[in-house]
Parts: sequence; structure tokens; C-alpha cells
Amino acid sequence: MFNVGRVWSALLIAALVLLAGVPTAALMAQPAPAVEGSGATAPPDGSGGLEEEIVPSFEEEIAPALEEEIAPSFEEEIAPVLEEEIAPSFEEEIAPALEEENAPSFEDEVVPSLEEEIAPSFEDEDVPSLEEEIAPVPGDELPAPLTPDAEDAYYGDFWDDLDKSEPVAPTPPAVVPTGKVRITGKLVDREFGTPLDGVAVEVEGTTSTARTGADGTFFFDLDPGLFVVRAKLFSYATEAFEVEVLADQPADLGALSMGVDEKNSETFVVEGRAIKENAATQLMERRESAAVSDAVSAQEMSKAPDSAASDAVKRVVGASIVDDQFLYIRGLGGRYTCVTMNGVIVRGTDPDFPGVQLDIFPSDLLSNLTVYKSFTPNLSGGCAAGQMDIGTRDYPEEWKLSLGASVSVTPGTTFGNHATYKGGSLDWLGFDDGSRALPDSFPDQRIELGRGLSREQVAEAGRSLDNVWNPEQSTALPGMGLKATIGDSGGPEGNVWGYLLTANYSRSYSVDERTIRSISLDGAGDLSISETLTERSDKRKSRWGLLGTATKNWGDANQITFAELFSQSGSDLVNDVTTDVSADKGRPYEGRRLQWVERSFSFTQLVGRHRNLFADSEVKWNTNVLWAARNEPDTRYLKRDGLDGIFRWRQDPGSGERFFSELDQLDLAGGLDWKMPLGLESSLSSGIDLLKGHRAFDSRRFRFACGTLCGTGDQRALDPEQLFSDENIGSGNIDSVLTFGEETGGNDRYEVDQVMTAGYLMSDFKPLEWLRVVGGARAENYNQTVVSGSPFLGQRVFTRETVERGEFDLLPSAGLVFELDEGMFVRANYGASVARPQGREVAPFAFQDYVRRKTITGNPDLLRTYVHSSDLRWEWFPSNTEVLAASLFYKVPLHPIEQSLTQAGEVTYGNAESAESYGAEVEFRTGLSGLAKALAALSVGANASFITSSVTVGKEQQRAATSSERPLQGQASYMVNGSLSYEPEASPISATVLYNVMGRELTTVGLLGLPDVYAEPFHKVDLTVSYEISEGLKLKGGARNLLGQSRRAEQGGVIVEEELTDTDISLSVGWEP
Amino acid sequence: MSPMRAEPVFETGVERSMVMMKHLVCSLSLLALLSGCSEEESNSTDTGTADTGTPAATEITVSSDVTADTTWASGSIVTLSMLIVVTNNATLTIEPGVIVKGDNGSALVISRGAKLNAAGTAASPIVFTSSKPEGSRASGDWGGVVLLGSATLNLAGGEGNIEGMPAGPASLYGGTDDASSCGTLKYARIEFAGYVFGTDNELNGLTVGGCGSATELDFIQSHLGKDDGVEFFGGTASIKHLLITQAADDSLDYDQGWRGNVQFLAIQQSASVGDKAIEGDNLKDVVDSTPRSRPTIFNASFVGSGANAEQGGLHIRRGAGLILKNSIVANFQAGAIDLDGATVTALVGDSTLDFSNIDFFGNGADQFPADDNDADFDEALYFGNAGKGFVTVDPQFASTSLTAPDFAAGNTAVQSGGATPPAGFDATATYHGAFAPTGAAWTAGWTSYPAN
Repeated sequence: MFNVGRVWSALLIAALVLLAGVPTAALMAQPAPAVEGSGATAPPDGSGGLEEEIVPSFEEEIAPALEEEIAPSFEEEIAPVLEEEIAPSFEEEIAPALEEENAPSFEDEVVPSLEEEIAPSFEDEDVPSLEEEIAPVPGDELPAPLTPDAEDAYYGDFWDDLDKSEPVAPTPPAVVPTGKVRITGKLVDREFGTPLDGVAVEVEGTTSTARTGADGTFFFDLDPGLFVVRAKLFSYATEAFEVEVLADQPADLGALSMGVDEKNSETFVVEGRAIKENAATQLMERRESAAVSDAVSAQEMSKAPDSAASDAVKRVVGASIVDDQFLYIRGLGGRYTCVTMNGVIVRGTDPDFPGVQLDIFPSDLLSNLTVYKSFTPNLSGGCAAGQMDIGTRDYPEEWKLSLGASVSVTPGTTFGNHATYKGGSLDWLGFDDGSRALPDSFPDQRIELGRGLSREQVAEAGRSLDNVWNPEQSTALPGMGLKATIGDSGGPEGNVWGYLLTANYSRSYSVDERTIRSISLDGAGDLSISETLTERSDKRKSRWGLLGTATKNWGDANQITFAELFSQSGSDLVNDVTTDVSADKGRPYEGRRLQWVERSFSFTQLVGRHRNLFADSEVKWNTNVLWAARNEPDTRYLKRDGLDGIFRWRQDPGSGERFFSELDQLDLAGGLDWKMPLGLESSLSSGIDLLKGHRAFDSRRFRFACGTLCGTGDQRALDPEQLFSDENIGSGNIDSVLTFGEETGGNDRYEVDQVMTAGYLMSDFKPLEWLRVVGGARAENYNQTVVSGSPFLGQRVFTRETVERGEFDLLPSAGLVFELDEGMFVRANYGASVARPQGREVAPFAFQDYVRRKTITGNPDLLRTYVHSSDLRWEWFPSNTEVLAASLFYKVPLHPIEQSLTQAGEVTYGNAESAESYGAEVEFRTGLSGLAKALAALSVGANASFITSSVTVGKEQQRAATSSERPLQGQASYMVNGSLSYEPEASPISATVLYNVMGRELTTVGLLGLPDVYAEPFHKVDLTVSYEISEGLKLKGGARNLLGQSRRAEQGGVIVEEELTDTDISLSVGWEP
Repeated sequence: MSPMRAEPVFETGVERSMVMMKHLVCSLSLLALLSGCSEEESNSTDTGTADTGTPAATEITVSSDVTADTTWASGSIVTLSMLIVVTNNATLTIEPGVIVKGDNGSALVISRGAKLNAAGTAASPIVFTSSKPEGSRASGDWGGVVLLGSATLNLAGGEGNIEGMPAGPASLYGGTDDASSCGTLKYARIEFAGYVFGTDNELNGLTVGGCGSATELDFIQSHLGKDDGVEFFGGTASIKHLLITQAADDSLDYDQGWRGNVQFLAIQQSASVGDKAIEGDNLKDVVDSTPRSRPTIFNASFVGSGANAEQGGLHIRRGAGLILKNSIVANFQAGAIDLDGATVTALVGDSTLDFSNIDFFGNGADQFPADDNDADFDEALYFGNAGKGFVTVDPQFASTSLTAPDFAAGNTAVQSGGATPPAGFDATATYHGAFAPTGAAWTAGWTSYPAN
């Protein structure tokens, strides 16, 4: 079926690459052994000499560094390698061509010239002149498949030709030229069967073109032979049909259908624009990608009952979500994984955990999620395990209005009791209206007697806080959602503009019930349960989002897009934890938390693309503002102990406590990419990325404690709202039931400033028809300043400490793509990347992580982790909607950053001795029409990942942990996804069943000899059925988690966590007039 | 909507959007200029350490670790402005009469290998207290005194990071030398201490981690301490003449294999705060770890408030041992002694967990609550055994006032009849309780009971 010779040579080269790329123990001492032997340019291990290299600005240091390091490394190392392989073509043809045509080299000329020229060229130069300069068709013949660029150029011409020429008459002339054979056909809309007129049809490899008539028919007069006929229409998939023309046998191809979502669509290239919401397009992109990547399209998301990016990404091979929020790729999360939005790094909104909370991105606003698992120089270097790019939706091809509404119920929860607590009038919009904020009268200084505040002022401050400690019982309403989209495009041909506005809103109620057990170990090695807690969390969540994009094209060559995405979510939580016998006191216990958390996210981006600059090159720039905030006003903590049937307030930290925090983050980023086609489907690209970020976290906490009258009259047994009433609140240890005071610590505020400058150089050569070589290097300079201290300056005791650190890294990477046969690829990649310590992890003092209620001590000696990654993947795309793939990967993080725990549960960070992670992935997606006609409507897909990881920690790092060697935390041993879709042609009904399971994963490291805690596999089945009532009116029913399995975690064979899960049933209606 | 009123850290919504607009504009020009707009500098680099007021000649403010032998001379008032660690095997000498004041967040830590030499006198005790003015002080104002040493404990690996402190090298304790010394602390009061570092993560009035038997701890008062009055984490250090008054949680807490001797221990709880007089653990979660906690206590007076339904006397749990003799347990509403769990009751009767010659009085309706998870061990039967010298008489304390307590027992039934303390103890103290029936109390002169 495929070329055996190619397969063997590909495997041989891949094996060599992997051998070179996979660092053995011997190589570890000298990291960054780049595939192409560029190890000499890599820093030793990043630890030494970094401080010396920390640089203040891009101009002074990075650019020279780029000149010195990247350029030489390219010339000295990659080029020679390339020379050996494609020497004649590069040296004799491309390089001179480059010199002549693109005299400005990147370092000397392009950057300055870009500075000076981009804007003017864009504004001053006449658009028509650009149109005239549309790139000539590269090469005489186009091997299939086309790269997107080549295809754009190709069809660009094709379109122009068509537009200028008269359409071929729909009525075929009676006479067929001698020796030719007439082929006729008819194009119809796949969904409705209506004829499609004005469709451009061409025969590949010939100059024959045609356009369908009003009845959808077309004809060609061809020589005998095997041809590929392509049909192309706005917003439809470009179709390719194989036609065998036999001498003297005129043929009627019959009705050929075209559709947006159907099989055999080649790509949705319209004005050089791919509709990324489509699964086929995603496969196409993946096919053309130099890196190992996987994606989920909006189309696929719509088949699953997923409402947020955090749900949807689970469908991607090797991706998992931890804590319902954080992305893990192949078992690595946090600092090893990046989330980008339209290519720009998004930093998380958790004050202490590196990672982005993906549940803030409503999937309705997204066009696709792409997970890049191997490293190429144009991707950010700080994403060792991979990065997920969230693509926002793009404008439609024609006027579009769609409205949707949905309701969802959870049997057992909906219409049942639901606890909430007094909030504000804007809770339903995800904003606290100030009800939970500190009152205006609250002193601006630390609440402390003997520091400028009178006894009465302190007491008054305590009284001014809202005396709400008890939940209100209400009824859980059905969840609801609303969405609306409008969009349009227009303008003269060649100067198309388009926009899209989407808004969505959702509100949901949930009740989670969980059993948590603590275990203890006796001398005989037996485990016994020392405490069983029952937890109930009642949550009400509101979320809305807005996406606006606007694009303007100036000819084929210039395009500017503006995008703004805003998302707001807010949720209130009543969390109750109870037990009959507490481990510490041996008595009944109840703990309560009332919490409101709201998060805002805003992303503003301006992107420009300019083609045909400096001859054929393409320039893309982007500039971005990202703002993210997290606000947690007045979280209330209460603990009560029972004795003889009476519950009394426990006077303890975390009881009678009120916590306020705010996190604010603002990132400014910009990037410039330049790509120079070199002919023969090869190119050279280069670019820079700049990021400047500022994050500020601020918190205050207050606590009520017992005053001298607390013990009299059994005051602590009062209902909390009576106990914490104004008349009971005093200050100091004198004549009051309660005293009020502030517990804000010396490190409860911090600010982090980050500056990252990066540049890369990457070459993409296709020396042979079946071989693509991608290689290059990225240089990143990263500086971080952390200032931590008390929110209160100027008062003695509290200081702020500043930690500054930074590093310069050179990250080489190389990849080979072998096309074994049409649509069959082998990809071998090596890439180096880094994982950096974040924020307070490097601060030399202890602080409270209030989200997890842990004490964390930073470590200023923390080294950043340098990660070597290798990937080998075989992929076969039998058609444009089908794929079969298998991959192997191996990663070695040097000096991995790992948490270390003390017996008191305190967390600190250190560099573990060693770690590795390796695994395999398989994936297939196919239609079943090949098996039997009756199954034509079915398509199935499945993917699985099997991962093994281990980390070895030294004694210093092990501290109280039981094991010194264990899997990485949060790494599932395997992940399996399956899907079965039923989409019969010309039927209003379609259905999809989805399955997902995550294997055993280490969730918590055991301490003091107790075993580690592992989450048990959780199987999840979702179902979606959609029914098109009439044109434009669609009904969709979904069921999430049909199995309703318990989520369990196990420690030494004892189930220590058990959460009952619910099945959610949703019904939505969409209307597109 | 900003809850932070302390400092205008965050802008209002309008200001925010202005800033965003500005940043957008800046960021747009980033490409053209490559050097962006600079953000306004925040004042975050201020250190704010400046001391207000003019220090007198004898006032010292300490704001960095003690890395060489140092003496705080008599007459000094030393203010600790942050967590002060004596490191580098240095000895910190504190002369009699020195007053050490702790700012919020501060503590005095003697790290492993370093030594404290703080020997006050009855007339000139060393006082560790809050830096706030009298009348404004409260428990938890500062972190107290932490002694860390290299004796054995039962954590896996033999060492740990003491709770209540950042988990760095300075907080390491534990080792192999049971005869080692953390130094001397004598005639000293520790007041208003016990910094809350985090949930279940606090410093106590006096924290002793892994100190060896050569450590000298004598005539010490922990007053209004938080979390516990005094807590021992492993080690073999002994303590004599210890007075713990009005601790916020437990008065004396031990864990991780502490095996010290205690004689003359007086504990008084207030009605408003305080949990147990003694909370004894071996090791949380791994209850049979060795060496096992097993202090030996002679002549203790445990005095509850008599007015708090939740306060109990002794709570021995998680595999802890205890030898307790010649003592009085009185006025705890929630019972005198709770032997909690089968891992504890299994130890009764051997040399690990033993009681004799104790007066239990006024400890609620049920002095020995049996309704807990202790594998059906009958505490009432065990502690009702007159053959082991258990009695139930009113000790007739001279005064249980919180401001001027006097725990001399007036009831002749407890003034004698105790066991003879073994070698290493004062063998003449055959009475019940911490105080001899005659003569001046050992608390006279150097102790104090301020409310604030």
C-alpha cells in the first residue's frame, strides 16, 4: 500500500534522531544535546552563569545574543546538516536567491525595517499594488497534498482566473472535441439535496475549469486518464473526486454532494482562511503541522455536552484535567503545561498554583482547542509538556444570527434543598455588588490594639462585618443557559470585512457529597480509619462571556483582526463538613465555609498578517492585553464541636475567621513572526515574542477569639449569628464575650513582575518529496521579580522582601516528517524546553495558601527545570476525516521542581534528583461506510494514552514523605476516550456517545509512612442527540455522566475519598433564522 | 468592589479600564518601539522597617538572625522584630532581668546545634512578652521561644521541620544524640506568645523539639500562650517547676516520642479558653512509631476552670504513653482522663502507661468518660482502684483565682501518701500535687498573671 523503501529510510532516520535526542544518563551531565549536534550552543544546565546573563532589555542583549548564538548555531550546525542532505538545492539555489531577493537578513535589517516599515507599508501602499503582486504559483507542479500556503496561492490565482473569465456555459455543446471524452456531473448540497450553482470545478493538473449552472451541472471534455476533479464553493468544503476517464466512454458522475461537515472535504479554504471550527480542518492542520499536535474543534465540542474548555479538552489524546480546572498533558501539569489564547500565553488566576483555570472559558466562544505536544521554536519555550491553544471563533461567511437556550436538570439535586447564603444583587451576573466587601468605615490599617486604634474602634470594626454565618435553605433550580451570535461579512471582493459577536450566559446549581476518611497505621502495619468526615458542597455558579472579533482584508495580502474575549464567573459555596467522632477531639464536629469567588478574564488582541512583503515572505504580528482577576471577598470559616448533643464554637485558627483576597494580573504581549518561503515547499521563519506581566495579590484575614466572658453562660453554644452579634464583640482580653483582631501575616501580599523576551529561527525544508526537515532554536530570556510582604507598609514588623531571578535559555529543536505515502506520515521530534518556578515559589519565606489552607515556604535556590523531549508518531489520514495514529514519547526533566512536605503538612519546593516520563498513544477516527453501506452513517473514534512516570527525590526533599520514588503527582497511568457518532445523510437526527476514563493517578503524597493516595479510574459516558425540527431550528438533548459512578481515592487499600456523582440531563434549542 | 482598604493596591473599575486602555495603546506601540511603556512603579520596595521612637540606651531591636555568640545584658529590653533564629552553633546568652519583647510574627528560635543560655533568678527573672503596650497585649501577639535539638524522635528519617515555622534548614530538629543539650532556660516567663502560622500549624508559648537530656529547663511560666502552653516534639529533655496558666488550647502537649521527666507541674485553665490540660500523642497517623512518647510526671496539679463544659483533664491518644504519679486532677467539666483508642489502652499496665496516687475531684458528672472509641477499656474501673492510690477528695486549693492563684492543697488527705519519686526526681515530694503543703510556693516572686 505504501512505499516500502520510504518506510525503511524513515524509520532509520527517526531512530537516529531519537537516539541523538533521547538523553541518556551520560548525556544528562551535558544537557541540551540537540539532534543536529548543536549541543555546544546549549547552556550547561542553566544553573551556572545565568545571573551574569540576565539582561535588561531586548535591544542590548537578546538581539546580539540571537546574532551570536542563534545565527551561528544555524549556520554552523543546522545548515551543514542540511547541506549534506539538500546541499545543492539550498546553497546553489535558495541561499543566493535569498541574498538577492531578501537582502535584509533578520538580525540586521528585518527587525528595524519592520519597525519602520510595517505600519507605513500597510497604510501608505496602495492595496491594488499588492493585489497585482499576488504570488506566482510556486513551482511548475504541485505535489499533493498542498501545504496551506501553496494552496492559498494556487487557488488565489484560480479564483482570479475564474473571475476574469466567463463562466463555462452550463449547457454543454453538442460536439465533443476529437479524442476527448465528456464527463458530466451535478453538484448538490449534501444536506438538502438542492443543486449548487456557480461552483468552481477544476481538473487537477490541467487547465480545465468549469462552473456549475443553475441546475448544478457541469461538464469537462478530457483526455482518457485518471483525474482528480475539485469542486469549490464558499462555505462548503472543497471536494475532490477521482474520475477515471476511459477512451470513448463518456460518463455521468451523477449527483455529487458538497457539504460543510461531510466526509471527503479537503479543506475549507476560502479567501485563504480555514474554518477552524471544523473537525476536518483540524485534521488538515494537524497533517500539515511540523509538531505533534492534536485538536478538538467546535464541531466536535458541539457533539459533546461540554460547556467549558475544561470539559472539552479531555477529549484530546493524552490531555487530562485535574481538580476540574487544570490542564495536564501526558501526566504533567502546572508549570509544565501552558495555555495560550490565539497563540498568546495565558497565566492563571490562582494565587499560588501555576496553571490556568480552564473552566472560565465557555466552549461556545471557542473555535478549537489544539494541544501541541512537541516543541518547535515558534512555540513558547516554557511549556515542557505541551501547550494548549484556545482559538476564538472567527467571522462567518455570510450574515448569521443564531440564538440558543438550554435547561438542565440533575435528578436528585434539581428541585431539592440547596443551601446558599446572603449575597448581593449582582450575584447572578457573577459580580459581588459590594455586599461582601469590607465596609467603607473599616480602618485602613491593621486591626490591632496598641497600634493607633482604640479598644472601641477595634470592636467597632468587628461589628461592622456582616453578621452572616448561617446558610439559607432554598431550592435548586434547573440550570439554564442562553447564547446569541451575530456575524456578517461583506465588502468588495478582495477587501472583505467580517465580524462576529457572541454572548453566552449560564447559571447552574450543584450539590456534591463526599466522604473523606483519615487513616492511621499501627505497629503491626495495619491501617485503621481514624476519622470519617462527610462533606456537602452546595454551589451556585453564574458565568457569562462575550466574544467580539472583527477582520478586515486588503486584498489577499493584508489582513487585520481584532478580537476581544471577556469572561466573568462567580459562584457562592456553602461547604459543610461533619463527623460523629473527630480524630483530634474524639467528639462530634462540624465545620462550615461560606465562600464567594469571582473571576474575570479579558483578552484583547490585534493581529495582522501581511503577505508578499519582501518578495514572498509573510509577516504576522500580534499585540495583546490580558487582564485576569480573582476576587474572594469575606470567606467565612467556622468550626463547632459537639458534646452531649450541644454544639459549641471551637476557638481555633480557621474558626470564626473571615478572609478577603484579591488577585489582579495584567500582561502585555506582542509578537512578530516572519516567514520566508524558499520554494519547494520550504521556508525559513523567525520571530520575536515579548511579554511583560504584573501580578498583585493582596489579602487580609480577621478572627474572632474568646474574650473573658466567653466561658460564662455557655456563650459558645449560641447559634453563630447570636454568638457573633454586635453586643458580644469587644476587643482586647477584657470584659467581652469575643475579641476581634486581624491575623494578616507578614507575607499576605505579593507582587510579581515578569518580563520575557524571546526570539527564534526555524527552517522548514522539504529536500525530498517525502521528507520534511524542521529545525531551529529559540532563545528565551526571562526575568522575574517577586516582592512579598505585608499589605501594611510603614508599620514596623512588616517588611517586604524582593527576590529577583532570571535566566537565559537556548532551546534547540528538530523534527523530521516523512510522508510514507499519500496521507501517511511519520514524525520524529526532539525539543528542549524549560519549566520555571513561579511567583512566591522562589520567595525565601513562608506564606499561607488560603485556597488549599496550606503553609508554603518558597525556595530561592530553586533551579528552573530543563526538559528534553522526544516524540515519534506515525499518522495515517486515509481520508480527510479519518485518522489512524500511534505515538511514543520520552521526556527527561533535569532538576524537576517538586513539592516537598513536612510532617505538619507544610509545603516547600525543591529540585528532585531525577525524573522521567514516557508513554505511548494510539488514536483512530473513521467512518464505517467501508464495512457496510448500512453503517455509512456511523463514525467511531477512540484514543488511548499509556504513561509511566517516576520521580526520585533526595533525602532533603523527601522530608516526611513516605516514598522517595513515585509517579508524578496528577499523572494518570492511562487515559482512554471513545466516541460513536450516528449522522445519517438527509436525516434530521444525529447522535453521539462519548466515553472517557482516566487511569489510576497519584493525588496526594503519603506522609510519615502512610501510603500514597491514588484516585481510582473513573468511567464517564456522555450522550448527545440532536434533532433538526425545521431549517434553522435545532433541538439538542444531552446527558452527562450516564454511569453516575462514584469517584474514589484509595490509600493502602482503604477508600479515603468517595464522591457520589450525578447524571446531568440537558435540553437545548438553537434557532438560526 | 475592592475589599482591600488598607492601601489603594487595586484601581476601581473605571481606573482599571483606563489602565487597560493605556496598556492596550502601549502594547500596540510595542511593536513599533520594541521598548514598551513603563508601568507606574508601585511603592512595593519600601521596607518599612524604620523603628519609630528614640531607643533608650538599653533598648535593642533585633532584626536579623544571631549567627555568633551573643549576650543580651541585664537591663536590656530586646525587641524581636521578626523571626530570629540563633544559627551557626552559636550560643545566645540572656542575662537575668532582660525583657525580650516580640513583635507580631516574631519568635526566638534556637536552631539545632545552637544553644540558649538564659538563666534568670527568682528575683530577676527573664521575661519574654509581647511588644505591645500593657493593656493591649493578648495571647498570640508573638511566636514565643523555640528550642530545637538533635535528640531522637519517631518521625521517619529521625528529623523533621518544626511546625509553626517556614520549612527551611532553620526549622530542622531531631537527630541521634539523646544526651545533647539545647541549653538552659531558667526563671523565665513567656507571655502572650503562640503565633498562628496556619491552620494546625502554630507556635506555642514554649516549643521544645528534639532537645536532649542535658537541656536544663527549670522555673518556667507560660502565660496566656497559644496554641499550647508548652509543647514537646520528641527528644529527652526534662522540665521542672513548670507553671502553665490560661493556655489557649492544651496546656502541655507532647508528640513524636518525647521521653522527658517532669516534676512540679502546675496547670491552670481559664473558663474562656483552653482545651485539655495534657494532650499526649505518640505520632499522628503512624501511632506505634518508636521511640514512643512516654514522659514521667511526678507532682502535678491540673486545675480546670470548673465552668467550661468542654474542658477535659488529660487526653492520651494516638499511641502515647505516660507515667503520672502523685498528682491532682480537679475541676475539669468534661472528665479527668480520657485514654483514647485501642492503641493507647493496649499500653495500660506495662511500663509505658501507668498511673498511681492521684486525686481526681470535681471533674464533671462522669470523671472517666467511657463512651469513646477506646476498645471497651473501663476507665472508671481502672481509676477507681484504691489499691493504686487513687482518691476522690476535694484538694482544697488555697485559691483558684486567675490573677493570684495558690494551688497549695489544704486537704490533709492529699498532703502525703504519695509514691516516692525515683532517682532523678526530688524523692522528698511524696505529696499529691505540685506544691508542698508547707513552705513558700516555688512560684513565689518570679511569676505573674497579667490579663492583657
